[in-house]
Amino acid sequence: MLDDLLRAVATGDRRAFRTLYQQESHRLYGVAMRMMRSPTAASDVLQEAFLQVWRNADRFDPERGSAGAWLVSLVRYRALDALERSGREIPTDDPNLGDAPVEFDPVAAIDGSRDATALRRCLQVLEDKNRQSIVLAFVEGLSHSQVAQRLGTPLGTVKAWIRRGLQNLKSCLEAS
Amino acid sequence: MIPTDPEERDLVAGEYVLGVLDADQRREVAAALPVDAALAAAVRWWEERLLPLLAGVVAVSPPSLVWKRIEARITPPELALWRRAAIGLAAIAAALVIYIAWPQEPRSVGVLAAGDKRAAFLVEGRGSALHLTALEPDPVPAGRALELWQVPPSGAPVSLGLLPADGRLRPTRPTAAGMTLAVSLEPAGGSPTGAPTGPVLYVGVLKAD
Repeated sequence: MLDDLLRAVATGDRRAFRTLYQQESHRLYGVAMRMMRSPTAASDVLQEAFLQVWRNADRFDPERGSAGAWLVSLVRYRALDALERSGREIPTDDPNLGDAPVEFDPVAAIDGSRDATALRRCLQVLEDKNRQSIVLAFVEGLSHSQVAQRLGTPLGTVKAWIRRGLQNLKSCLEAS
Repeated sequence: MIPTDPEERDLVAGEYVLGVLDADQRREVAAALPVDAALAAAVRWWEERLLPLLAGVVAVSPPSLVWKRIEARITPPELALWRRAAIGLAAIAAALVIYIAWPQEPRSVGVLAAGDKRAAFLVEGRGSALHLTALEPDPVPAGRALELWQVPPSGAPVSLGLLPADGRLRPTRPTAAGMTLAVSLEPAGGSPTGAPTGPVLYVGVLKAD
């Protein structure tokens, strides 16, 4: 369904593009809001991402991955660009930084498909600090230094936690 | 340097997808993706596998302005102008057209309305002068300007000048009742091409007063 819409968008079909926007923009705006924490910044990210969808829909290849992952990734990379421009490598004193995970637990919220179940199981067997660092980076868009600040841990340690976490996650996912 | 060792490469791909690489490394990976199939496959693997982590993120309705801006950017200016002109005409028919009694000279009046029918400017023509009163226009982004256009029944739109802050505009050409007017968003200083380059924000028709 999403694949068909993207194929139509790739041919310049404006109606398909509008349908795609109506169907996907809420979810994607939620992801952008989570990372940008500001409606204005999230709106800019969503706009840039959809313009990129319009221009590059022909680059989506269903043989290589799902349309859902392709769309979310576009939004996340545009959000990372914007966060980078706003200087996220500079540690801030923002006391709210990364506090959002308290509201919900992304690992618990993973839904029930087969891939999702594997991810949940593999995240749960990671050490807490490794899992927490990965989730903060992926869901909240925090940089190494921001994760370090949030967890009150030296930067080098956080980098090592994330690498270790990714390594273990990969072996676990490949084994499942 | 993108690592050639498969395990290291997979880790860098994972860090890229998480978004924790520093700006230089991130650019390096992004630049390598189109030519390094193994790296691209590793990045896609992580994108796909981590996606379920976002399932719990609450969906939020984006502001309606976002789609308007996207639509304006993907529509060729001419098509946008004519489509907006059509919407504008319908809006004018439906919405208020204010006739103001002036004491003398040929007079015209109209409302420039946004796509959502919101009345943005009241336009009053008196002789060769045109007076625009801001009603409910959107704020103009920094470094941009509003440009007023006459849209002839056929052929390209003709610039009547930039909208000054005080709304008083002496148009570069005479205006008269029956003309369709449009306002587009342009770089500061006006359209560099002589044709509308930005989105057409407001449209309306001058009527005889």
